[in-house]
Parts: sequence; C-alpha cells; structure tokens
Amino acid sequence: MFVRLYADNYRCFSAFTLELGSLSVLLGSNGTGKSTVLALFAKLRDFLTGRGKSLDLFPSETLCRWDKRIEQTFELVVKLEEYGEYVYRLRIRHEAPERSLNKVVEETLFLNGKPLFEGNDQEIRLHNDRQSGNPVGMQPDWHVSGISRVYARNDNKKLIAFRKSFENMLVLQLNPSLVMAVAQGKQSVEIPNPDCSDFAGWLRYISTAEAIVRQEAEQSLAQGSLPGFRAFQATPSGDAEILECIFQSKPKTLKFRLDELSSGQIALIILEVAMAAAAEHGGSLLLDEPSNFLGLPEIQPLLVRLQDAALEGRFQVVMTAHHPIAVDLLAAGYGLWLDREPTGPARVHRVQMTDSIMNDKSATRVSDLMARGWVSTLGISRPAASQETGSTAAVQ
Amino acid sequence: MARVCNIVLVCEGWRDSAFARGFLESSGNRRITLKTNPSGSGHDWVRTQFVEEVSNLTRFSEGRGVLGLLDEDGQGVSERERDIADALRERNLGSFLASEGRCLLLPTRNLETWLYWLKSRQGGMTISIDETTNFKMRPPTDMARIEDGDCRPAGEYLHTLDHTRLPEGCPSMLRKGLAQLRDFVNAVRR
Repeated sequence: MFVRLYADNYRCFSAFTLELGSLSVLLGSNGTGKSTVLALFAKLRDFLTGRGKSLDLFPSETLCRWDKRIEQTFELVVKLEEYGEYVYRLRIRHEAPERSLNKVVEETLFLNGKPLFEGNDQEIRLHNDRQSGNPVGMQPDWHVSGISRVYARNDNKKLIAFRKSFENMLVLQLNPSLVMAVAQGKQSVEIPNPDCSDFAGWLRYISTAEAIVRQEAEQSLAQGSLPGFRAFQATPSGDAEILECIFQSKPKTLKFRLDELSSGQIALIILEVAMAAAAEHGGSLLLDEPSNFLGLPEIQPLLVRLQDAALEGRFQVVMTAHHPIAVDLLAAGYGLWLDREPTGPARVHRVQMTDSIMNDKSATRVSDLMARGWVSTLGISRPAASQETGSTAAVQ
Repeated sequence: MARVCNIVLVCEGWRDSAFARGFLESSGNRRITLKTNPSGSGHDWVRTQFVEEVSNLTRFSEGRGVLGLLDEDGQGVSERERDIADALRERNLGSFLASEGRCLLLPTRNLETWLYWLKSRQGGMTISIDETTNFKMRPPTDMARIEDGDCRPAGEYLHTLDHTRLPEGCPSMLRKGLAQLRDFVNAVRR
C-alpha cells in the first residue's frame, strides 16, 4: 500500500506531502492538484517499471513555474505486509531546461531503514535481500530507473516485490470517447493508458494471462452492474481483433462493438475490469472522478463497492471526487482537501467533522458546505491571503 | 433499463451497513441505497432518516423496504422501539413490521455483540456474550478485535443460519434480528 507521497518542484507541488490510507478521497476546487497527484503516480510507475524515461516523463515544463531551482524530488513510502516499509527517493536535475535535458542524480530505495538500492549519476550499488555485505555495482543510465533494470533473482525478492507493487497499480483517468474496440495485431497491454484508449488490448492480455479477472468482471457486470450484459467476445478481423459485448434481453441477444456503447456503459465496463484486476493483485486503484459519465443510479453502488474493497483490504483506493454523492458518502473519514492560490503551491488538509457538524440535527450535507466554500467547519483553514482579501480563488 | 433500488438501508456507519449488506446480498438483494450518518453515529439521525424513508415507501411504488440498524446503547430496546413508533405515529405512518418491509434491527448493546458472537461461531467456538457490555473498544476475553473486513462476512454468515435453530448463547436480539431479517427479505421479494 502506498502510504506517503512527497513531491517538490513538480507542477503545483512544492514540498508537498500526501498521506494515504486504504481509502483516500481527494477533494477540492478545480486546479488544486488532485488529478496531478494521480498522474504523478502513473509517471512514477512508468519510470520504475521501465515504461518511460525521465526525459519524457519529467520534461522541464513539469518544474514549478515560480521556482528557480532546477531539481525535482519525489519520495514514496510503500508498506508491504510481507517485508515492511520501503522508502523510495528520486531526484532529477534539469541542467538545461531550455533544451529539455535532465538526468537522474539520485535514486535510492531503503527497506526498514536499510539500503536495497543506492544510485546517483556516477554509480549504482545494488544490495541483496540480506541488506548486508558488499553491494553489486551497476552503471547508471541518466534517464532510466536503475530499479527498472534489475533482473529478478532469488536474492533480490524484496526489491522486486517493491517494483511489483507499481506493476499492480492502475491509474485511470477515463475518457470513453477515446476508447477503441480494436486491438491491433498482437497488441496485448499489461498496464493500460490512464484514459484506457487501449482497453481492448488490455482485455486481450487479461483474457490470456489472467482469465479469472475477466470472468470476475463479466460475472459482476452480468449480475446487475450493467443491465443486460452477458459476456465479452473478441472477433478476429484481419490482423486485428474487435471487442464486442453481448447483451441479452429475452428473447433477443445482440452484440455491440465496445465503441458503440454509451460513455457510461464503457466507463462501467472498464471500472469493473479494473476492480477485478486490482482485487486479483491486491494492488492499488487510482481513479480520477470514477463517477464521471455514470448515471445517478450507478454512482452510489460503485462507491460503496470501492469502499468495501478498500476497508476489507482487497485493494487500495485513491480517488478524486466532485460528485455530491461521493462527497457525502466518503468525505468524512477519508477526505483530503487540496487547495492552492492560483499561482502558488498546493496544500492538503484532512477533512474533519467538527462539533458544529457532528451535533447538527438538521444534518447539513458535507457536499453543500463544500459547494459554498464553508470548509472551515470541516477543519480546513484557508490560506491567509484569501481570508484577508476575500478572494474566492482557493476555495470556491 | 435503469437500475431500480428496492431497499433503503439506514444505519449509523460503514460497519453497520457492511454487516446488513452482507446479509441482504447473500439473499439476492443487491439493489440497495445506503444512507449512513456522515458523523458515524447518532440515534437521532437514524430515527429521522428511518421515518423519512418509511414515508417515502408509502409515496413511491418502486421502494419495497426500509431496513434500519441502530445500536441499543444501553437505552433499552422497548425505549428505542417506542421512540421510533412515536415518530412514525406523529406522521401518520403506522407502525414498523419487518413483514411489511419496515425493519428495525436493534443490537444490544451494539452491533459488536453480534459480530463477536458470529465470529466465534465461524471459528468453531460458541461463546456466551453479555449483551449489556460495550465491546466497541475492548473485545471479549480471548477474542481478537473485530476488523472492518469482518463485518460483511459476518452478515453473509448470518444468512446461512436457521433462526429457529440458533444455539444456546446466541444474543437474544440477534435471534430476534435474524427472524426479522427473514421476514424482511420475504416482504421485499414481492
């Protein structure tokens, strides 16, 4: 489980720390950094699993606009039941921002306070599972994670388990209009793009490598999450495969290409597969506005299932939310409120139920308070500047 | 076709809701709307919402049942029941009977009593649980603390039990509660 993220000099994050639990709901106005948190997790995953290089994932445009420093720092704390607490640290220096050149100047991984991996721009020292004795040396690649280049062996299971926790992380920022029904050639996607445009390829991978995930998702969809749904079907078409969904409403059975379905239906299908995959891996599911595109009757059941899964320890959930149903169900207990001045850094506050809310017999809804910007009653203090000037920028 | 919710579940917090949903889902009832108190507890809140939802049941034909779950908290079962009955009468909503789709579960002293007893049964033990002790903070002797992840399975397990053949030592209100739940499930099946 990811328990802490630290980011410094990255977009709207300046010495920003986010503490996470099994269920964390990121709340706040537009432009306060909620989606940026999720996108950063996806970038760190892609870096650590070798899917991306620092040049592409952390270009100079990702430096804070108000900060003159040329280094970005990221830190992640991950707890794995089997081994303990990992601390991963990544430092990237933008030596020629105007030419978008950067390099990794520090990449370290500690487990329970002892080093597993120590790298800089000159050398890398790789420790075995005993975390003692002479480390093995590796040549650094300035733009690629050294951890991503480590081959799994019997004596580095702890490091590989850490990397695996990133492979088991799904970050979804759905855009159903971009989702394609066609999986080209031998396209088989192990980790989908956040917008899930490659969902057909992902389902193809799941169907062969993790058939149980597909079965679980189909079963759940058929049991009522998507009325009429029966099964997926991949139909060959030349070199490609077309993903179709079979719907049944007695006596008719009809097939639809995935991209013929509504945005809400596509979102439901993807979310169902994502939940089944996360449960299978015991991983982390990061969702940007999962209630987007869904009809009102679908929203609460989805949120309750996510809450169940997180609290019952099946997988971790980190999600952003604006929808009042999500806010009222989850803000108390799991809410993290992000705010920022328009040209300043993001800050985070844990949502707390103050006495005035706890004792409120008229049962004022948390979503109403947030919509009005009356967040001080939720234990959230506004930045001093916006209080003095009456600015509505930070909390609208 | 739009998803239609048949049951409204009113309770104090997630644990109560997970337990009740465990039972309802095991009996094939998945179309549930959940109302939990944002502050996590509160007899007044559950009473107000329960009455409101009974009222909704009389107004909207799609609704089939309201299930409320409220800790007795040492206030007395009769007192709690009278309180809700008075509130319903004030609004001319009649009484509440599980067999009519209006079910109120009142664990004594609170839900943890039920959860610990069910957990002991699942573990092959049968312990006697004192229904006047508050086990929220401290579990019964020799038992591990109930975790969030235990609540829904406890509801699912309860569904497997026969309310006419519950063993000695079963909390009295759980015995009554299981009978109420069976009546409720039959009532919403129409």
